[in-house]
Amino acid sequence: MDNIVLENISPKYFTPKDLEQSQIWKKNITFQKGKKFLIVAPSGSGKSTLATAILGTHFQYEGNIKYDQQIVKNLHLEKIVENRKDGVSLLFQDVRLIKDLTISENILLRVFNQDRKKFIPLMEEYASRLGVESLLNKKAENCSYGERQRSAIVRSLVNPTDFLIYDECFSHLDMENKKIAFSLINEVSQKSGSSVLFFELNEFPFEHDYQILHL
Amino acid sequence: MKKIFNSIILYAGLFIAFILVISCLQLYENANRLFGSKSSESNYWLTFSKKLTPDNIGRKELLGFNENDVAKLKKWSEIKTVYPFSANEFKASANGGDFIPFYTDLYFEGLDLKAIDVPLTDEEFQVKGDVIPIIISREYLNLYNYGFALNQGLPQISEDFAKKIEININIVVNKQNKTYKGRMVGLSDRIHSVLIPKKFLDSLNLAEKPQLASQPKIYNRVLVQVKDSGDEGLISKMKENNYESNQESLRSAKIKSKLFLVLKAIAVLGIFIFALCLYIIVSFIKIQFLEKQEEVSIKNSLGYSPKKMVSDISRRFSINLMIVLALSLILIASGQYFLAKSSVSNGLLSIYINPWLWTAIIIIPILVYFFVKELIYRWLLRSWKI
Repeated sequence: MDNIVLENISPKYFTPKDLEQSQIWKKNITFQKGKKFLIVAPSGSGKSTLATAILGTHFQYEGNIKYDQQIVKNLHLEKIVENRKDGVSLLFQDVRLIKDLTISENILLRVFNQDRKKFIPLMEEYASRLGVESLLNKKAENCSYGERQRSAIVRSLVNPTDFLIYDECFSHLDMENKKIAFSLINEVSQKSGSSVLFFELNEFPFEHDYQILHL
Repeated sequence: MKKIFNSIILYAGLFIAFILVISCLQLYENANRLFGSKSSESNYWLTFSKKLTPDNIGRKELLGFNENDVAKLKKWSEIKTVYPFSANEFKASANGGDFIPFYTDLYFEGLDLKAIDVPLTDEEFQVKGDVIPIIISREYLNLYNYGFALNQGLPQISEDFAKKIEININIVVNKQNKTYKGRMVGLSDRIHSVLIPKKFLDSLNLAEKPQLASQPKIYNRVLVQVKDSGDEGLISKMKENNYESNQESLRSAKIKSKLFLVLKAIAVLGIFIFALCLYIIVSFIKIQFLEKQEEVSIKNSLGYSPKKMVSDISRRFSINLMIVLALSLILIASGQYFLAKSSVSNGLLSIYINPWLWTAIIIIPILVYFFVKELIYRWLLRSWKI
């Protein structure tokens, strides 16, 4: 997937604050592969609504979202889901790890039918960078929110898609861990040529070269 | 633990349903073999006559079968062939001469030789000189040997001996007496009559009544070869047309039709249980999905195809179904083996179940796989409201 295009979209069932000032709502905008974006917006402005709409889990919006030339609303569910394998992934605000599975099992869900062994060293390296290596065999339900958040970041990077979307993914991390996680995401996305879209409440309190968009 | 218990109950229900349906199908075949057995040919031959009523008594044109009746009979799907009987239109009698002092008036009938269960060729069964070959019902000889001869103190006659006896046959045609020698050439189990060569009989009839050539033919009785003497359709058609036949074979037909009715009822019950189990299975899978709703939703958001998730669970279920079916068939097959070996079967049953039943192991799980997959997938999409 080379582009995600937003064409004049606005939420169907609520009106975001400062709709007029928004650089995204009711505008035409294209996210190109390889480019990095930081979408900043206060609570209640529709960050999660937009992030999940881009992933294709709902169509509660006016206008169109396109994967390259294809209008997402017109795609069959199976086709949308297929795009999630290599095209677009989202780290939800509520992390979404399967409770009964261990952290490593959760991470390796992103591998699908490929040879898992091939991805284990990568998983261990990223987990060690984020300080969750010791948790790999622990069940997700027994981990803290911050630990689960870091584990979910590893999951998003182990087999990265063309577009990596993160919805307030650092909310439970301290500054040190935030920086480490951010730099890991940058490093991996650089290597894979992926685009990164961060949805955050505030701008990052450290240096970055991301294009900032206000929702 | 509860889940395992539920699964056991479910598969036990399916096992019972399969046992009921498969055993009904096999019993249906067994009943066909027992009642419509090919080893007893008499079941396939019926002599039709019209029922006597106050209206048709003594009226040959009403009591007999005309060409139209015969043509209609030939069209019945249950009937393979129809052989009309010719009967004598002339006076005939027999006496034993000096050796056996007896005298009796006689009747004769003629029939196509291929319809008679006596292994004779046309050459063997024809009038040569003044010798008429005769075939009588085995019942007549038995009636004489075990009834008449015993009571009257007369000698009993074996089949071979009977074939050696010659009797005088006196025929009156055109008021002229003709005497022939009658020799029995065979005994029939199928036809209760005194049979002589049809050509000979027809020529004597024409000589006695030349007007018969120009009149429509009337046959007193007809012999029919049927596919299945226990066919319910045949019995109802006979009833409709007021035809009668051998009571014994019809009785077996009635028993058979009642047995089939019971089998059909059991099969319907089996199918009902199967449908019920299928419904429970679909609900069972739905519950599994609901219990794992979060997991399914997470996997879906990660890129796992919902169709594949549903097809995986349906495939697992179909494989279990295949195992249950195989167990049911093995049980039925061993039951059939012991039934066929037992004295009840009289050697008429096959020791194997119908080979087509084994195809159910493949066909039913495949059909159920697609059915369950489609149903659950649609439900899943509806429940996600996408």
